[in-house]
Amino acid sequence: MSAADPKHLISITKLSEYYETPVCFAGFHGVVRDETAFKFREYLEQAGKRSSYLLVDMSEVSYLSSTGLGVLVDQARFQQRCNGWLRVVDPSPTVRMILNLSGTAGILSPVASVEEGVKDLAPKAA
Amino acid sequence: MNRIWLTAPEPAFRRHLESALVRAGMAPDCLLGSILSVDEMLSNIVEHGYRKGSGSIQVCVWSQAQGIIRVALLDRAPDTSWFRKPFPSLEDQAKKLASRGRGRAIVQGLARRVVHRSRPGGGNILLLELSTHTHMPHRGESVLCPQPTLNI
Repeated sequence: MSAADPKHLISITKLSEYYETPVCFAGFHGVVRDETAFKFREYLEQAGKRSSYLLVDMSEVSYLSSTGLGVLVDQARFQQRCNGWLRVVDPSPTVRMILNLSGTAGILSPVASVEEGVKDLAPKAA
Repeated sequence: MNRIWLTAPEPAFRRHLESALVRAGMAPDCLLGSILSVDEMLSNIVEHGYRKGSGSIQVCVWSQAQGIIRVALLDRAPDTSWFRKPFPSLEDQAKKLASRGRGRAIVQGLARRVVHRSRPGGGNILLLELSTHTHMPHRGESVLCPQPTLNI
């Protein structure tokens, strides 16, 4: 996909249960920039309402502007207020680079896989 | 002289920019970062420089030296002070969970150099110096328009 393709963004969302806790998974494919940030926010808000734990798969996102990054941070803040979290799953190299450059890796907690993302939901051993 | 006048952000502009960067010799794996740098600066010009009105932004791309491409963004924005204001530290932004104020940090990280000058007659010149490591275009080769004769 060309970096100049500004409007392509699709999302798939599903609700799963891990360790008896509902976790919403939102996967994205495309570019997140000014033209698609509104859709990105809408998809994330819908997903975030389904569970306080939100996994956002960014492995197929080839472009993330600071506007899109702001949407992610806003949503992470919302999940925290709901006593949950937002974690970015398997960020593409571009997304990883942006998270690192922007200092948001600590907020958006990138993880390599869904399993890694949900492991703190596992019951603690006695 | 092939100059592009645009109201950013505009899809047709991005296609021109991508094409220009490729023609200047930008390596494919550096292309997205380069476009992102220019995009972020355009957003800042529109948001801060032109916040009280509309205007145009002139963009020039040219190869400066072996492995270096320069992109100049020239505007006539009435507000020329925004770039000189220090941007918030990323640590503070993270502590506050701020959703904005990271664009310039991203650009600083992606570009070799970012230079701001006031433009004679009003407005700003922002110069981004970007790296490329593949095709080495001829020094001084112009892609979108000749190297500006402005003092940048």
